[in-house]
Amino acid sequence: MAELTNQQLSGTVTTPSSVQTAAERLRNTMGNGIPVAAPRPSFSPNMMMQQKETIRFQPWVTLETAAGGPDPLEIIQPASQWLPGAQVPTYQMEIKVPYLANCTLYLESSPTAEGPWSTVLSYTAQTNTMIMLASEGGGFAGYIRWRVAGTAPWQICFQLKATPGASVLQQMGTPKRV
Amino acid sequence: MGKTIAMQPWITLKGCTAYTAVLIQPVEGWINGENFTDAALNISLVGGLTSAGNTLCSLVIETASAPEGPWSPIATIAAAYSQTTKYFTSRASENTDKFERFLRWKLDPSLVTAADWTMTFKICATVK
Repeated sequence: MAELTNQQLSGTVTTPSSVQTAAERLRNTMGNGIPVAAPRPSFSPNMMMQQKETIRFQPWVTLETAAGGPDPLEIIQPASQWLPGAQVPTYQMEIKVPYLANCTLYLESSPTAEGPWSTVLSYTAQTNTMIMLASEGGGFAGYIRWRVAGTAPWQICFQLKATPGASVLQQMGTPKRV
Repeated sequence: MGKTIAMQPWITLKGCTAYTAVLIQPVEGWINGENFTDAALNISLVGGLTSAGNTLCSLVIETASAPEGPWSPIATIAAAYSQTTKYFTSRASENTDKFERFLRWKLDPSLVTAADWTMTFKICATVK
C-alpha cells in the first residue's frame, strides 16, 4: 500500500471512488444515481484500511418452486454474478436468510467456470450471519456462486453481500519474536 | 415540477418466526432528500396479514439525517392488498410528517405474530 503524504493526512485529498462505501456514494446522489453536489469528504489515516467495496453478491430475492410439474429442483446463480476469487485472499460474507423451506442454500467454489464445483458453505434453515471465507488453506478458489436445491415445493428468501479483504495472515500481522 | 423515483421496484420477501433480524432496504435504494423539501411515497402492498386480518408484518418508512443514522420511523403500513400514498416534508412550518435527509424502508419481524409471513410491495417516490 502506498504511504500517505502529509497532504493526505491533513484532509486535502479526495477519497478515491474505489474505496468509497455505498453510504458515501449515497451522500452524493439523490437516490437511484441522481447526482447532487458532492460534499468535501472527511479523511482519516485509517480510511484506506477501513473502507472496502462491498459487493452485492445477491440482492434480496425470493425463489419458489411449485409442487409437481417440470420446474427445476435447483437454481444456480447466473454466471455474470459470480464472485471472482482468484485475486482475493478473503471475503467477509454477510448472509441473511429470513425464510427457507424444503431446500438448501449452497455457496460453492470452483477454480474454473466450468467446474468442478465444491461446497464451501450450506444452510438448511433461516440464518443471519457474518463469516470470513479465506482462499488460504483451500477455502475457495477461482469463482464463488450460490445454488439452491431441494425437493419441490421449496421456498427461500435471501440476501448475500461480500466484502473483499486482505489475507488472514496480513490481517493478523507479523508475529513478534520472543 | 417533481420527479418520480422507483424507490423500490416490486419485490417479495418472506420470513419465518425464528428469524428476528430486521430487513432493511439496500443502501443504493435510499432516497437522499438534500435537494428537495417534499416527498410523496406511493406504496403498493400485498400480504402482511393473516386470513383473519391479524398483522404478521408491517412495512416501516424510516428517516435519518445521515446514512449512519439514527433512523426514526415516520410511517407504518400494515394493511394487506393496499395502495396508499404518504406525504412527507422537511419544512418545519408544515404539519405534514417530517423527514430528515434520507428515507428508506424496513420490515421489522418484531411485529410478527406466531406465523410465517410474505410481503410483496413496491414504492414510487415523487419528490420536489
